[in-house]
Amino acid sequence: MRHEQLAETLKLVIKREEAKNPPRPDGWASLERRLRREPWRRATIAVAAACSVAVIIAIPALLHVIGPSGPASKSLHGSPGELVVLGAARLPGESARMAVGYGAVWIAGTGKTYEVDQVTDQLLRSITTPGTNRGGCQSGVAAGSGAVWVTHDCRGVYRIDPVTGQVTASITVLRAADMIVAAHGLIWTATLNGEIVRINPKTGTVTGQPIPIGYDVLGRRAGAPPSIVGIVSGAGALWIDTSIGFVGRIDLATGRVASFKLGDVSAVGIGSAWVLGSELIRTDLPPSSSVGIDATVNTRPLSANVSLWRGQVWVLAWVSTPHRALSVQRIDPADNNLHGDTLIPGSAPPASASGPVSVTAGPTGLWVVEPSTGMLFHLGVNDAHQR
Amino acid sequence: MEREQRRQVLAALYARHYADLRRSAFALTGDWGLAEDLTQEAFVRAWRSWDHLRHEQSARAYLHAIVVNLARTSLQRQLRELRLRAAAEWSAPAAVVGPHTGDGIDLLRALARLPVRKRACVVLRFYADFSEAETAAALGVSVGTVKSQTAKALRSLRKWMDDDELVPERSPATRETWHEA
Repeated sequence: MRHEQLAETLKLVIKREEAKNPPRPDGWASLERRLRREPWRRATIAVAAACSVAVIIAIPALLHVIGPSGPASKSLHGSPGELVVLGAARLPGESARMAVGYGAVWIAGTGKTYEVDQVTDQLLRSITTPGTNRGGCQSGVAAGSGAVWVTHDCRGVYRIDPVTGQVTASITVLRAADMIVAAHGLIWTATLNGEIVRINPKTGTVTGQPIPIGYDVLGRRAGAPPSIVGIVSGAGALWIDTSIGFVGRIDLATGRVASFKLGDVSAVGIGSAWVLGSELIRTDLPPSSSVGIDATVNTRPLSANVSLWRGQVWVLAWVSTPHRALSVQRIDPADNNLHGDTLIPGSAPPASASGPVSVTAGPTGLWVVEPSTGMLFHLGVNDAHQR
Repeated sequence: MEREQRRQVLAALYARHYADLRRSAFALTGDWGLAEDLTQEAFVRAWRSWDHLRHEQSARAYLHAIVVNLARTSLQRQLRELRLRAAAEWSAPAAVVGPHTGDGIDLLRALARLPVRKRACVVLRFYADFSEAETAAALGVSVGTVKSQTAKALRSLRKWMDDDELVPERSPATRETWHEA
C-alpha cells in the first residue's frame, strides 16, 4: 500500500466511521461546564496549601490591618453606573470601521488591519492587508464565522485567521463597499452597485446571486441604483440603509427581501429599530410596509452612531462646547429618556477633520474610533462587573 | 475579563480543531467514546497550560500532542487491566471489531494492532498530515525515530492487510509499550 493510498484510505474509513458516531452536539457546552469548575479546582488547591500557613501567621496580622473603616477601594472616575473611559489606544495610521470578536477589536486601517486586545487595550498586531482604505475605497470589517473579514480595494474581501493573524484568503467581490456583516452563518457585504453579496465562510466563495436593494414598497426600482449606506444585523434580519430613504430588510431565515420607508436604521434590538436623524426615533420592528413610531428622543444635533449594549441605547455624537470632543449619551429604553452624557477627553480631531466616527459594543465595553487621529477609546460602566 | 478572552480563543480553537482531534483520537484508540473524552480532556489541559497556546500557529500540533499522550496513558491503563485479567486473547477495541466489511475495517483492525508509538506515527503522519518534524515534536522523539517507527509500522500494516486473517502476533502481555525503544 502506497503512502498516499494509506492516507486516503485512513481518512475515508475514519470519516465513514464518524458518520456512524457523530460528535456530541453539546460538546462545547460540556467543556465550558468543566472550564467553569477550573478556577474552583485551582482555588481549592491554593487555599488548601495556604490555609495552614495563614492560620499560623496571618491572623494577628489581619486583625491589625482590618480596622473599623476597612481598606479603601480603588475607584474609577465617575459615579456608579456612569460610563467612563477605561483606556485608549493610538493606532499607527488612519482607521475607520471596526468589529469586536475573538477577544479583540479589529480595525480596518490604511493597508493594515489592527488587532487591539479588548481587555488591556494594547495593540497586539498590525496585519498587512494591501488595499484597505485606499483611495476612495473605504474598508469595512466584520468578525464571525471563524474569521475576521475585511473589504478592500472595492474589489474583494480578505479572510483573516483570528488565531494566527494571517490573511488566509482574498475573495473577489466586484465593487465591494465598506459594509460587511457576519450573520446567520454567512458573510454579507454591500457593493457599490446597491446589492448585497453573500460569502460562504466555509468555502470562502460567493454564494447565490447578489441581492438587489432599493426597491420601493411596490417592488419598483427607484430610479438610479441606490447607494447602500449601512448594514445592521438584528431581530433575525439584515437592515440595509439606502441613500433613497428606503430600508431593505433581508429575513435571515427565509431570505425574503422587503422594503420600508424609514430613515437611517442605526441599530436594531431591544424590540425596536433605532433610526438616527436629527433626533433618535424608536420604531416598531416592521412586520409590514408600515411602521409605527414609538418614541422620539432629542439627542445631540451632531449624533453619528448608535450602539446597543447592556440593555441600553448609546448614541455617539460630536459636541462643540466647551471644546470639540466626542460624547456618548445613554438612553434607557424603559422610559426613552437621556440618562447620561459622557465626554471623551482627547477625542478632538484637527479642526478641519470630520471623519466617520463609530461606536461598537463588545463584551468588555463600548469602543469608539476617531479616524483622523487614529484614536480608539474603550468605555465601560463604572460598576463592580467591569474589569 | 482575561478569562473571557481566553474562553473566546479556546472556543475558536475548539471550533477549528475539535472534529479533527476527535478523529485522530479515534484512530489511536479505536473507540469513539474514549476519543470524545480524550479530546475534551485535551482542551481542558490546554486551558490549564495556556502559555503553550500563545504560539497559536502550533496550537494544532500542541493539541495533537496532548491527545497522543492521553491516548497512550489510556491504552496503557487498558493493557494493564487486560494483563490483570490474564486475557487469553487480545482483541481490538469494540468500535473497530466487527464483521469484516472491507479494506477500511481491515485497516482499522490492523492499525489497532500496532504498538502505540507506531500507531501514533501513522496517525499523525497519514491522518493528521503532520511532517516528520512535526510528528517528532508532538511525540517528543527524534525525526530518525519517527522515520524508523513509521517504516516498521507500514511494513506491519502491509503484511497484515495482505493476510486474510488478522490474528494478533503477540498477546498483550508481551506487546511493545510506549516506553520501549
